[in-house]
Amino acid sequence: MVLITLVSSDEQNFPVERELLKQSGTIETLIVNMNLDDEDTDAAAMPIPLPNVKGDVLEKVIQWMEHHKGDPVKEGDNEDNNAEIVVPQWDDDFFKPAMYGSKHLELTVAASYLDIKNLLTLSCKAISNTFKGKTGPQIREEWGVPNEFTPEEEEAIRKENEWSE
Amino acid sequence: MPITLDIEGEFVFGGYSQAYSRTPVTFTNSDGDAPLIITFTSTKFTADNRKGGVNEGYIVESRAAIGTGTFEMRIHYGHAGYELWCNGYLALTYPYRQPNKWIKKAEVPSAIVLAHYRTFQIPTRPGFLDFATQPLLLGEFIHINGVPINGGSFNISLLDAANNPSYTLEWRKSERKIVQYLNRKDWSIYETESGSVPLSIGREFDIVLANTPLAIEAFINGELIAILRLNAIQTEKEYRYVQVSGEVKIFEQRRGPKKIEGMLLRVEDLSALSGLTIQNAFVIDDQIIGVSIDLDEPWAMYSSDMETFAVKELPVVFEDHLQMTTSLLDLPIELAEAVFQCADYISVIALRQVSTVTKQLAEANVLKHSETPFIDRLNLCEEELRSMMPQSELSSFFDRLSPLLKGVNVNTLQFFSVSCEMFAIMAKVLDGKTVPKLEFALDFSEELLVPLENFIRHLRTTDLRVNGYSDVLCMMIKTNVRHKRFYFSARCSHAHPLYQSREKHVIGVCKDPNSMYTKLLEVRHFKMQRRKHTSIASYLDVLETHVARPERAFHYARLSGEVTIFDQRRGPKKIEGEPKWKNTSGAKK
Repeated sequence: MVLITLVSSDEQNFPVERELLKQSGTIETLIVNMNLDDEDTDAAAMPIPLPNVKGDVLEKVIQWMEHHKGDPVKEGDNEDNNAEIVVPQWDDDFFKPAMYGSKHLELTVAASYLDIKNLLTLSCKAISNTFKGKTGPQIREEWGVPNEFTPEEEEAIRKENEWSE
Repeated sequence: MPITLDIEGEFVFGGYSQAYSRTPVTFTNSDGDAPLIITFTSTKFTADNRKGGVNEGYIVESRAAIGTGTFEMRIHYGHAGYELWCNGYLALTYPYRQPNKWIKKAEVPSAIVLAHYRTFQIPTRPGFLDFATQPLLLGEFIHINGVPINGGSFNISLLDAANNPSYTLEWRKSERKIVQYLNRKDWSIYETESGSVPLSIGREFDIVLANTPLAIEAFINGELIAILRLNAIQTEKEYRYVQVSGEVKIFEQRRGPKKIEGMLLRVEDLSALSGLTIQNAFVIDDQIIGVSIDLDEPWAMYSSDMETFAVKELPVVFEDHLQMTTSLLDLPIELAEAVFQCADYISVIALRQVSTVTKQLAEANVLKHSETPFIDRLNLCEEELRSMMPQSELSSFFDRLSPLLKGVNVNTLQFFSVSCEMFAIMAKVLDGKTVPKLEFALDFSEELLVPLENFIRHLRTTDLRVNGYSDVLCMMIKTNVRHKRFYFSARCSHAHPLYQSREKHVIGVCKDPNSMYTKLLEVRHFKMQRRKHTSIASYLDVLETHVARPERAFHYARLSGEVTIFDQRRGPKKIEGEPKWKNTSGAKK
């Protein structure tokens, strides 16, 4: 089993199975371009630095990749109707501890940076699921969004959306 | 704008001097003369004086290189003249050149960014403070400013009512350490040593002793040194006198809290004044709010009164969601869009009410959802409209309007001739909606402008195009909801052989859609022309400007730059003769 070491921004080392990394477009491209698959070269032992991903986030990403080992990897742009995606139970549980937290957002950013399309889609969907049944002010409070509206603007928006409620 | 400060006694100020400012800080006496003028240069500063409006030219330069940047300067009346202490060291002594040496005002130029200043009286009994009747309370502090001289060792003691030292801070220079002891009334003696010694001979120091419940905290030049984690048994009754003895020269001694004029922006100053280790501070109304980490405790938040610097701990309620360090809006825009695309219709509507950014992101997704509320609304309108339009026309109209509401990407009513009634229909159907793009033809007549104006007033759209076919102009109106501004642009749809214009000219911007009617009328009269067949003019950009009254706007023409003029004249006018590129030699061109 070939292991490749990923190094997080806080310099934690994570030896990861080569097979798992195929889910990440960014790392896969790097491995191919740098010839890291070639065990005869010095490059094979070279750790891959990921300066944009913190250790705790990377750990979560690896955990997700391990669970989804062998899943088909999406290619190209996502043309599905994202509003109709259903988050599987395991993934729902996976995202839940990080729900309403910056960790979930960091995980989404990491998925984007590492180009793990399935993780990105599910993560975005999990975030959007937290909006369900909430009012604007509730979403604002839960996700730390500052209220930029004046009371007049807020009233106008409320009236505007009245018919849909 | 220079700042003028009143001075009573000695003066200390700190801030930031900008490079090569050479703008002097002028100190004037009660006669209006300036016995001291300090000028900062890039590496040093100089002192001069002015009498009767004329600089004497008796200039003394500072010894050490001061340079630009952050500084703190103390002006002390010495025996030989003004002693100017800069960043802790005696940098310059300027002799008293005028009989009236007492400074009353300081004028600080704007090139010096003033961070803090203080004026104070020279102590009458240097090294001794008496507050026997009002002992040092918790939260209060003692501030001693001075400079170690000769051998340097000295001590500061807080004495009890019987004049016995209860607490002592001693600098033992030969042993390179600072020792603190506490003599408690239960006869126990506690002692601690500090390895860090931020003191040296000839260097000015600021020592603050703060009376806190758990210890006398000692700050030297804003830095908290090792502390005895113990205080007197009766902390608010114990300390009644201060005595400084040893080889030290005292400039300033005071008991706090006390009003300090000017701004205090440095957390070190706040730390020294409050007796806390302030990590961060900000000002809310008349309170300074500081965040501190003290005595290995979790961080706490304090308020400090701007006048008295009395410190009060603020209760902080920790809740889970306060741990949110990243907001939803911190997501990169493409990820935020991806999240919003995943949201269902009701969530999208709720997201419109969260913030201006989420509103814009949500609006892009509103039309992707074919939800019943749109259709219901449409049906409601339909009843009313049936009486207004022939069935065939109405049917055709709704055929085009319905997919628009359901979110078909190409939202077009182009080539559909819009009447006044249809404006009314659209205004009702689309009232309050955000339609990304709506395009239709308009037979340009003035009677349509008022309904158009009303329609646009009700419509929220990010891109509205009205193609009005007239002899001269095609109207293109673009509203930009994001900036609450309405952009107008115009182009000639049927290019006259001798008239050409650029395809898009922004000729009007207004914040209020109500003023659009006026703008539209102005647009009708707008004409731009460009000469053909001149070597430089053929691709020269035509003036792009906002012209309200074009007929009266231009009186002269001027062409400048590296160009040779062959011909210049006012047009439009027919160009005589045949084009020059006509093939006369028979060769293919």
